[in-house]
Amino acid sequence: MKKVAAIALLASVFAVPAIAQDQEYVMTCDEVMTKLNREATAEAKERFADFKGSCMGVVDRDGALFVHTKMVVRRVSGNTVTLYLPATDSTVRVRPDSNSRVMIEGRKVRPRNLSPRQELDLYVSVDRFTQPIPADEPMINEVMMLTEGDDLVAAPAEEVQAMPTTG
Amino acid sequence: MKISVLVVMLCMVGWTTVNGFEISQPDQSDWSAKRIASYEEYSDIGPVMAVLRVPGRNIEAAVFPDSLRKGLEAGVAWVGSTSMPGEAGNIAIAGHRDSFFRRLENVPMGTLIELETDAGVELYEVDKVSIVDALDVSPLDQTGEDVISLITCHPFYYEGYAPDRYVVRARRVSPLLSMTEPAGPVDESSGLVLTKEE
Repeated sequence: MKKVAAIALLASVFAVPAIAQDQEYVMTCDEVMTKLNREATAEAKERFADFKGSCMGVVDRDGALFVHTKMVVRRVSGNTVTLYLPATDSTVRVRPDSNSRVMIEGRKVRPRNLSPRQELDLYVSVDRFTQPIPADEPMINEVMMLTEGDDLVAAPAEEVQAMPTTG
Repeated sequence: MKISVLVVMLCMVGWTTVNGFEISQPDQSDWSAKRIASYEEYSDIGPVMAVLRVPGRNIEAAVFPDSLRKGLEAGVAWVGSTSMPGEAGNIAIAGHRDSFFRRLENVPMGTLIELETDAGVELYEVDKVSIVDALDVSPLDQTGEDVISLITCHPFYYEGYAPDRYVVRARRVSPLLSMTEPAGPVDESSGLVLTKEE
C-alpha cells in the first residue's frame, strides 16, 4: 500500500526511444547529475533514484537535453511490449499502435518484432526533472515512439508487477 | 594485561552494531568491483530490520526495508509485499547476485538459514531452488507455510540485466518467536515497526 502511494506521487515521463543515429554526447553523466542534484524536484529524485547507475550520456535535440539510458525488453505479445526501465527500477507494459516503430542498431523495427532481452535506447528529457509533478499522475503513463515518417507518437504505458531486479 | 587488551581489540575488528544487531564486515572476495564500491558508499544507509545469515555459505547481511532503494547496496532488501521478518507466512528477501547472494548459487538442500529479528533468531532449512522469469511473481505469493524466499538475478554471471530470477525457498524449522500478526509499515526514521491503525 505504501509503495502504491509513493508511485502515485511520481511524475509521468516522456521517454523517446530513438532520437538520432549520429548522436554525440554534450554532457557527461557526472555533469548532468551535478545539475540535477541542484535543480531536480524531490519527487523526481525519488522517482529516478537509480538514474546515476543507468545514465550513458546526455544528448542535445533541438536545444533540449535528453539523458540517454536503456530499456530492456522482457516480453512481447502481439503489439504489447513489457519493458524494464533500469533508471526507475520499474517494469511497464506498453501498447503502441501499429504505426509505431523503435530503432535498433539504426533500423526501424515494429514493436511486435522485438525479442526478450533486447536493449532499447531510452532518452528522458532533463526538463522532466525540474517541473512540478501533479499528485495524481502515474509513475509512467506513456512512452514516445517513432513512426515511419520520423514523427513522435505516444504509446500508453502502465506499470506491472515484476520480481525485484538485483543487478 | 596488554595481551588481554589486544585480544579484545582483535575480537572487535570487523564487527559493527546497527540497531542492536551485530553484523560482521562482509567477505567481498567474490564480489564485483562495482558492488564493493557501492557498499563503501551506502554501508551506513539506514535502519536495519533484521540480519540474514547462511553460515554454510559464509553469508551475513543486514536486511533493509524495500523502501530504502539503496538498501541492496548495503545488504539485502525485504520485498515489501510479503510477510515481514519475524512474521508467519512467506518472507521474501532480495540480494545482488554479484555481492551478498553470489554464494547462493548451487546451494544444497538442507542448508540452514538464520533470520535474526528483535525477537530472536529463527531457523529455516532450504527445501527448494527454482529459476523463474523476471515477470513471474508467484514466488512472492503466500503459500500457507512459514517460509523464507531468497531472490537474486539469474544467470549469476550474465552481462546486463538478467532475464530470470533464482529463488531459494526454505521452510521454518524452529518455533515462531513472536509477531504472528502482520505488522505495520516500518518507520524509516527510527527503524521501529508502527502498529496498524484500526
